[in-house]
Amino acid sequence: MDMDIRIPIGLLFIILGIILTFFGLFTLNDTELYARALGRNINLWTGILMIIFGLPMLLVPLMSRRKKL
Amino acid sequence: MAANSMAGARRTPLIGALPKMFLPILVIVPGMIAMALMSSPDKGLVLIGNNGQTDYNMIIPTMLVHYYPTGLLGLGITALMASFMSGMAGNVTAFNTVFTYDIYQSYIRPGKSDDHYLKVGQFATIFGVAVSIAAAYVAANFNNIMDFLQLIFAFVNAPLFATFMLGMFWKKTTGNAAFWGLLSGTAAAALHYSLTIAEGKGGWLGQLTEYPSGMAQSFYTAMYAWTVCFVITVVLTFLTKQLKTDDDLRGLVYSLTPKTYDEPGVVWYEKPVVMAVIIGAISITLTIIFW
Repeated sequence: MDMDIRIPIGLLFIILGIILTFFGLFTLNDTELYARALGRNINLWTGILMIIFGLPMLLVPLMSRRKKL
Repeated sequence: MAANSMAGARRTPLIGALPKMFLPILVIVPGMIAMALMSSPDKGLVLIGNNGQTDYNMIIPTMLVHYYPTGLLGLGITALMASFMSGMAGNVTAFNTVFTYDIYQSYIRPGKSDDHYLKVGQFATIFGVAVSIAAAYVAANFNNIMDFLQLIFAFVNAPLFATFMLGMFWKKTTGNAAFWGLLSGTAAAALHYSLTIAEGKGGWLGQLTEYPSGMAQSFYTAMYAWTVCFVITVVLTFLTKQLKTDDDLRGLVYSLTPKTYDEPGVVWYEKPVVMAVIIGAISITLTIIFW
Protein backbone atom coordinates (compact mmCIF):
# COMPACT_ATOMS: atom_id res chain seq x y z
CA MET A 1 0.00 0.00 0.00
CA ASP A 2 2.14 2.86 -1.27
CA MET A 3 -0.59 5.19 -2.48
CA ASP A 4 -3.40 6.36 -0.30
CA ILE A 5 -6.20 8.02 -2.26
CA ARG A 6 -6.91 10.30 0.68
CA ILE A 7 -3.59 12.12 0.29
CA PRO A 8 -4.12 13.47 -3.26
CA ILE A 9 -7.78 14.26 -2.44
CA GLY A 10 -6.73 16.18 0.67
CA LEU A 11 -3.96 18.03 -1.22
CA LEU A 12 -6.32 18.98 -4.05
CA PHE A 13 -8.96 20.33 -1.68
CA ILE A 14 -6.40 22.26 0.40
CA ILE A 15 -4.69 23.86 -2.61
CA LEU A 16 -7.97 24.85 -4.29
CA GLY A 17 -9.34 25.99 -0.92
CA ILE A 18 -6.32 28.24 -0.30
CA ILE A 19 -6.65 29.78 -3.78
CA LEU A 20 -10.37 30.45 -3.24
CA THR A 21 -9.87 31.80 0.28
CA PHE A 22 -7.22 34.26 -0.87
CA PHE A 23 -9.34 35.31 -3.84
CA GLY A 24 -12.21 35.86 -1.40
CA LEU A 25 -10.00 37.92 0.93
CA PHE A 26 -8.77 40.12 -1.91
CA THR A 27 -12.32 40.78 -3.08
CA LEU A 28 -13.80 41.41 0.37
CA ASN A 29 -15.27 44.80 -0.56
CA ASP A 30 -16.24 44.01 -4.13
CA THR A 31 -20.02 44.19 -3.79
CA GLU A 32 -20.50 44.25 -7.56
CA LEU A 33 -18.80 40.86 -7.96
CA TYR A 34 -20.94 39.22 -5.27
CA ALA A 35 -24.25 40.76 -6.28
CA ARG A 36 -25.07 37.61 -8.25
CA ALA A 37 -24.35 35.43 -5.22
CA LEU A 38 -26.96 37.37 -3.23
CA GLY A 39 -24.32 39.56 -1.56
CA ARG A 40 -22.35 36.85 0.21
CA ASN A 41 -18.61 36.40 -0.21
CA ILE A 42 -19.12 32.84 -1.37
CA ASN A 43 -15.50 32.42 -2.52
CA LEU A 44 -14.19 32.98 1.00
CA TRP A 45 -16.68 30.61 2.62
CA THR A 46 -16.26 27.82 0.08
CA GLY A 47 -12.50 28.15 0.32
CA ILE A 48 -12.55 27.83 4.12
CA LEU A 49 -14.90 24.84 3.99
CA MET A 50 -12.67 23.13 1.41
CA ILE A 51 -9.63 23.58 3.65
CA ILE A 52 -11.61 22.22 6.62
CA PHE A 53 -12.54 19.16 4.55
CA GLY A 54 -9.09 18.72 3.05
CA LEU A 55 -7.01 18.90 6.26
CA PRO A 56 -8.29 15.71 7.96
CA MET A 57 -8.32 14.00 4.54
CA LEU A 58 -4.58 14.69 4.31
CA LEU A 59 -3.59 14.39 7.98
CA VAL A 60 -5.33 11.14 8.97
CA PRO A 61 -3.39 8.91 6.52
CA LEU A 62 -0.15 10.76 7.26
CA MET A 63 -0.59 10.20 11.02
CA SER A 64 -1.35 6.50 10.61
CA ARG A 65 1.62 6.11 8.32
CA ARG A 66 3.89 7.67 10.96
CA LYS A 67 2.46 5.31 13.58
CA LYS A 68 3.45 2.30 11.50
CA LEU A 69 7.05 3.41 11.02
CA MET B 1 -9.93 -6.75 -6.94
CA ALA B 2 -7.63 -4.30 -5.21
CA ALA B 3 -9.30 -4.96 -1.85
CA ASN B 4 -7.03 -6.14 0.94
CA SER B 5 -9.40 -8.81 2.32
CA MET B 6 -12.55 -10.72 1.45
CA ALA B 7 -14.59 -8.59 3.84
CA GLY B 8 -13.10 -5.50 2.23
CA ALA B 9 -14.13 -6.69 -1.21
CA ARG B 10 -17.66 -7.42 -0.04
CA ARG B 11 -17.85 -4.05 1.66
CA THR B 12 -16.91 -2.00 -1.40
CA PRO B 13 -20.22 -2.21 -3.33
CA LEU B 14 -22.11 -1.53 -0.08
CA ILE B 15 -20.10 1.61 0.65
CA GLY B 16 -20.67 2.62 -2.96
CA ALA B 17 -24.42 2.10 -2.54
CA LEU B 18 -24.60 4.67 0.24
CA PRO B 19 -23.81 7.80 -1.82
CA LYS B 20 -25.62 6.32 -4.81
CA MET B 21 -28.82 6.25 -2.77
CA PHE B 22 -28.75 10.01 -2.36
CA LEU B 23 -28.02 10.65 -6.04
CA PRO B 24 -31.70 11.37 -6.84
CA ILE B 25 -31.53 14.29 -4.40
CA LEU B 26 -28.64 15.77 -6.37
CA VAL B 27 -30.45 15.14 -9.64
CA ILE B 28 -33.92 16.34 -8.69
CA VAL B 29 -33.44 19.14 -6.16
CA PRO B 30 -31.54 21.56 -8.49
CA GLY B 31 -34.25 20.99 -11.10
CA MET B 32 -36.97 21.81 -8.58
CA ILE B 33 -35.11 24.94 -7.46
CA ALA B 34 -34.79 26.02 -11.09
CA MET B 35 -38.52 25.38 -11.68
CA ALA B 36 -39.42 27.54 -8.67
CA LEU B 37 -37.05 30.31 -9.79
CA MET B 38 -38.33 30.29 -13.35
CA SER B 39 -41.93 30.68 -12.25
CA SER B 40 -41.05 34.08 -10.81
CA PRO B 41 -39.47 36.00 -13.72
CA ASP B 42 -38.20 38.82 -11.51
CA LYS B 43 -35.44 36.50 -10.27
CA GLY B 44 -34.02 36.75 -13.76
CA LEU B 45 -33.19 33.07 -14.31
CA VAL B 46 -33.70 32.03 -17.94
CA LEU B 47 -32.70 28.58 -19.11
CA ILE B 48 -30.37 28.64 -22.07
CA GLY B 49 -32.61 27.60 -24.91
CA ASN B 50 -31.80 25.16 -27.68
CA ASN B 51 -33.33 26.89 -30.75
CA GLY B 52 -36.15 28.43 -28.77
CA GLN B 53 -36.88 25.37 -26.64
CA THR B 54 -36.06 25.14 -22.98
CA ASP B 55 -33.10 22.84 -22.55
CA TYR B 56 -33.50 20.92 -19.29
CA ASN B 57 -30.02 19.44 -19.50
CA MET B 58 -28.53 22.90 -19.08
CA ILE B 59 -30.13 23.60 -15.68
CA ILE B 60 -26.97 23.13 -13.64
CA PRO B 61 -24.61 25.03 -15.99
CA THR B 62 -27.17 27.84 -16.29
CA MET B 63 -27.54 28.15 -12.55
CA LEU B 64 -23.74 27.99 -12.12
CA VAL B 65 -23.27 30.88 -14.52
CA HIS B 66 -26.12 32.82 -12.96
CA TYR B 67 -25.25 32.55 -9.28
CA TYR B 68 -21.53 31.80 -8.97
CA PRO B 69 -19.13 34.73 -8.93
CA THR B 70 -15.69 34.70 -10.54
CA GLY B 71 -13.57 32.26 -8.61
CA LEU B 72 -16.16 29.73 -7.50
CA LEU B 73 -17.48 29.63 -11.07
CA GLY B 74 -14.17 28.22 -12.26
CA LEU B 75 -14.23 25.59 -9.54
CA GLY B 76 -17.83 24.63 -10.34
CA ILE B 77 -17.16 24.20 -14.04
CA THR B 78 -13.93 22.31 -13.32
CA ALA B 79 -15.83 19.92 -11.05
CA LEU B 80 -18.52 19.41 -13.68
CA MET B 81 -15.97 18.70 -16.43
CA ALA B 82 -13.92 16.45 -14.13
CA SER B 83 -16.95 14.32 -13.30
CA PHE B 84 -17.90 14.02 -16.99
CA MET B 85 -14.36 13.06 -17.92
CA SER B 86 -13.89 10.53 -15.13
CA GLY B 87 -17.21 8.88 -15.95
CA MET B 88 -16.34 8.66 -19.60
CA ALA B 89 -12.75 7.51 -18.95
CA GLY B 90 -14.03 4.77 -16.62
CA ASN B 91 -16.53 3.49 -19.14
CA VAL B 92 -14.13 3.56 -22.07
CA THR B 93 -11.48 1.74 -20.03
CA ALA B 94 -14.01 -0.88 -19.01
CA PHE B 95 -15.08 -1.23 -22.64
CA ASN B 96 -11.59 -1.79 -24.01
CA THR B 97 -10.67 -4.19 -21.18
CA VAL B 98 -13.79 -6.30 -21.61
CA PHE B 99 -13.45 -6.34 -25.39
CA THR B 100 -9.73 -7.13 -25.46
CA TYR B 101 -9.57 -9.63 -22.59
CA ASP B 102 -12.94 -11.33 -22.53
CA ILE B 103 -13.93 -11.29 -26.19
CA TYR B 104 -10.88 -10.81 -28.40
CA GLN B 105 -8.33 -12.80 -26.39
CA SER B 106 -10.78 -15.52 -25.36
CA TYR B 107 -12.68 -16.12 -28.57
CA ILE B 108 -11.34 -14.29 -31.62
CA ARG B 109 -7.52 -14.54 -31.49
CA PRO B 110 -6.16 -16.44 -28.49
CA GLY B 111 -2.43 -16.85 -27.95
CA LYS B 112 -1.00 -13.75 -29.57
CA SER B 113 1.76 -11.53 -28.17
CA ASP B 114 1.14 -8.85 -25.56
CA ASP B 115 2.02 -6.15 -28.10
CA HIS B 116 -0.77 -7.38 -30.34
CA TYR B 117 -3.36 -7.20 -27.56
CA LEU B 118 -2.10 -3.77 -26.53
CA LYS B 119 -2.70 -2.51 -30.07
CA VAL B 120 -6.17 -4.05 -30.14
CA GLY B 121 -6.90 -2.38 -26.80
CA GLN B 122 -5.83 0.98 -28.19
CA PHE B 123 -8.09 0.59 -31.21
CA ALA B 124 -10.93 -0.49 -28.93
CA THR B 125 -10.42 2.72 -26.96
CA ILE B 126 -10.66 4.85 -30.12
CA PHE B 127 -13.75 2.91 -31.18
CA GLY B 128 -15.32 3.32 -27.73
CA VAL B 129 -14.78 7.09 -27.78
CA ALA B 130 -16.29 7.26 -31.29
CA VAL B 131 -19.35 5.28 -30.13
CA SER B 132 -19.82 7.56 -27.13
CA ILE B 133 -19.67 10.64 -29.39
CA ALA B 134 -22.30 9.07 -31.64
CA ALA B 135 -24.43 8.28 -28.55
CA ALA B 136 -24.23 11.94 -27.56
CA TYR B 137 -25.91 12.89 -30.86
CA VAL B 138 -28.67 10.35 -30.23
CA ALA B 139 -29.11 11.63 -26.68
CA ALA B 140 -29.50 15.17 -28.01
CA ASN B 141 -32.86 14.09 -29.48
CA PHE B 142 -34.28 13.46 -26.03
CA ASN B 143 -35.38 16.42 -23.98
CA ASN B 144 -33.38 15.20 -21.02
CA ILE B 145 -30.61 12.69 -20.47
CA MET B 146 -32.49 10.81 -17.74
CA ASP B 147 -35.14 9.60 -20.24
CA PHE B 148 -32.46 8.38 -22.62
CA LEU B 149 -30.58 6.62 -19.84
CA GLN B 150 -33.69 4.80 -18.61
CA LEU B 151 -34.48 3.68 -22.16
CA ILE B 152 -30.99 2.23 -22.59
CA PHE B 153 -31.28 0.51 -19.20
CA ALA B 154 -34.64 -0.95 -20.23
CA PHE B 155 -33.10 -2.43 -23.37
CA VAL B 156 -29.78 -3.62 -21.97
CA ASN B 157 -29.85 -3.92 -18.18
CA ALA B 158 -33.33 -5.29 -17.57
CA PRO B 159 -32.97 -8.55 -19.56
CA LEU B 160 -29.36 -8.85 -18.40
CA PHE B 161 -30.55 -8.71 -14.79
CA ALA B 162 -32.84 -11.71 -15.35
CA THR B 163 -30.01 -13.64 -17.03
CA PHE B 164 -27.56 -12.90 -14.24
CA MET B 165 -30.06 -13.75 -11.54
CA LEU B 166 -30.87 -17.13 -13.06
CA GLY B 167 -27.23 -17.83 -13.85
CA MET B 168 -26.06 -17.05 -10.35
CA PHE B 169 -28.76 -18.76 -8.34
CA TRP B 170 -30.00 -21.63 -10.47
CA LYS B 171 -27.34 -24.15 -11.42
CA LYS B 172 -29.51 -25.85 -14.06
CA THR B 173 -29.53 -22.79 -16.33
CA THR B 174 -27.88 -23.70 -19.64
CA GLY B 175 -25.71 -21.45 -21.75
CA ASN B 176 -27.95 -21.70 -24.80
CA ALA B 177 -31.06 -20.84 -22.79
CA ALA B 178 -29.33 -17.81 -21.31
CA PHE B 179 -28.19 -16.59 -24.72
CA TRP B 180 -31.59 -16.93 -26.40
CA GLY B 181 -33.38 -15.62 -23.32
CA LEU B 182 -31.23 -12.49 -23.32
CA LEU B 183 -31.72 -12.03 -27.06
CA SER B 184 -35.49 -12.43 -26.86
CA GLY B 185 -35.62 -10.13 -23.83
CA THR B 186 -33.89 -7.39 -25.81
CA ALA B 187 -36.12 -8.16 -28.81
CA ALA B 188 -39.19 -7.87 -26.55
CA ALA B 189 -37.95 -4.47 -25.38
CA ALA B 190 -37.56 -3.36 -29.00
CA LEU B 191 -40.99 -4.71 -29.91
CA HIS B 192 -42.67 -3.03 -26.95
CA TYR B 193 -40.90 0.23 -27.71
CA SER B 194 -41.99 0.16 -31.34
CA LEU B 195 -45.62 -0.67 -30.47
CA THR B 196 -46.13 2.07 -27.90
CA ILE B 197 -45.68 5.80 -28.10
CA ALA B 198 -44.72 8.44 -25.55
CA GLU B 199 -43.78 12.05 -26.21
CA GLY B 200 -43.66 11.28 -29.91
CA LYS B 201 -41.02 8.58 -29.56
CA GLY B 202 -41.26 4.92 -30.42
CA GLY B 203 -44.26 3.46 -32.22
CA TRP B 204 -42.65 2.63 -35.56
CA LEU B 205 -44.77 -0.50 -35.98
CA GLY B 206 -48.03 0.63 -34.46
CA GLN B 207 -49.57 2.42 -31.57
CA LEU B 208 -51.24 0.15 -29.04
CA THR B 209 -51.04 2.47 -26.04
CA GLU B 210 -49.74 5.90 -25.35
CA TYR B 211 -47.80 6.54 -22.15
CA PRO B 212 -47.94 9.94 -20.46
CA SER B 213 -44.14 10.22 -20.31
CA GLY B 214 -41.03 8.72 -21.80
CA MET B 215 -40.02 7.53 -18.35
CA ALA B 216 -43.21 5.45 -17.97
CA GLN B 217 -42.61 3.94 -21.39
CA SER B 218 -39.04 2.99 -20.42
CA PHE B 219 -40.15 1.39 -17.16
CA TYR B 220 -42.82 -0.70 -18.90
CA THR B 221 -40.28 -1.64 -21.58
CA ALA B 222 -37.96 -2.81 -18.81
CA MET B 223 -40.69 -4.89 -17.19
CA TYR B 224 -41.60 -6.65 -20.42
CA ALA B 225 -37.95 -7.22 -21.31
CA TRP B 226 -37.17 -8.72 -17.89
CA THR B 227 -40.22 -10.98 -17.86
CA VAL B 228 -39.68 -12.27 -21.40
CA CYS B 229 -36.01 -12.95 -20.74
CA PHE B 230 -36.81 -14.74 -17.48
CA VAL B 231 -39.58 -16.92 -18.91
CA ILE B 232 -37.73 -17.83 -22.13
CA THR B 233 -34.56 -18.70 -20.22
CA VAL B 234 -36.45 -20.96 -17.80
CA VAL B 235 -38.42 -22.69 -20.59
CA LEU B 236 -35.37 -23.25 -22.77
CA THR B 237 -33.38 -24.53 -19.80
CA PHE B 238 -35.79 -27.46 -19.56
CA LEU B 239 -35.54 -28.08 -23.31
CA THR B 240 -31.76 -27.92 -23.71
CA LYS B 241 -29.03 -30.00 -22.14
CA GLN B 242 -26.67 -28.74 -19.47
CA LEU B 243 -23.16 -29.09 -20.93
CA LYS B 244 -21.29 -27.95 -17.87
CA THR B 245 -20.67 -30.16 -14.88
CA ASP B 246 -21.06 -28.94 -11.31
CA ASP B 247 -17.28 -28.64 -11.12
CA ASP B 248 -17.19 -26.13 -13.98
CA LEU B 249 -19.69 -23.93 -12.21
CA ARG B 250 -17.99 -23.89 -8.82
CA GLY B 251 -17.39 -20.28 -7.83
CA LEU B 252 -19.93 -19.01 -10.36
CA VAL B 253 -23.24 -20.35 -9.06
CA TYR B 254 -24.26 -19.48 -5.53
CA SER B 255 -25.30 -22.97 -4.38
CA LEU B 256 -22.00 -24.47 -5.61
CA THR B 257 -19.73 -21.87 -4.10
CA PRO B 258 -18.16 -22.33 -0.69
CA LYS B 259 -19.69 -19.77 1.65
CA THR B 260 -17.43 -17.11 3.06
CA TYR B 261 -17.54 -16.27 6.71
CA ASP B 262 -16.51 -13.04 8.33
CA GLU B 263 -13.00 -13.16 9.62
CA PRO B 264 -12.87 -12.49 13.37
CA GLY B 265 -11.84 -9.09 14.63
CA VAL B 266 -14.00 -7.03 12.29
CA VAL B 267 -15.90 -4.25 14.05
CA TRP B 268 -19.64 -4.95 14.03
CA TYR B 269 -20.57 -2.03 11.80
CA GLU B 270 -17.99 -3.12 9.22
CA LYS B 271 -19.59 -6.54 8.79
CA PRO B 272 -21.01 -6.81 5.26
CA VAL B 273 -24.32 -8.31 6.45
CA VAL B 274 -24.94 -5.55 8.96
CA MET B 275 -24.11 -2.89 6.39
CA ALA B 276 -26.34 -4.51 3.78
CA VAL B 277 -29.29 -4.59 6.20
CA ILE B 278 -28.76 -0.95 7.20
CA ILE B 279 -28.47 0.24 3.61
CA GLY B 280 -31.49 -1.81 2.56
CA ALA B 281 -33.52 -0.34 5.42
CA ILE B 282 -32.52 3.23 4.51
CA SER B 283 -33.41 2.76 0.86
CA ILE B 284 -36.82 1.24 1.70
CA THR B 285 -37.51 4.11 4.10
CA LEU B 286 -36.55 6.67 1.45
CA THR B 287 -38.77 4.94 -1.10
CA ILE B 288 -41.75 5.08 1.25
CA ILE B 289 -41.14 8.72 2.22
CA PHE B 290 -40.85 9.89 -1.40
CA TRP B 291 -43.57 7.60 -2.80
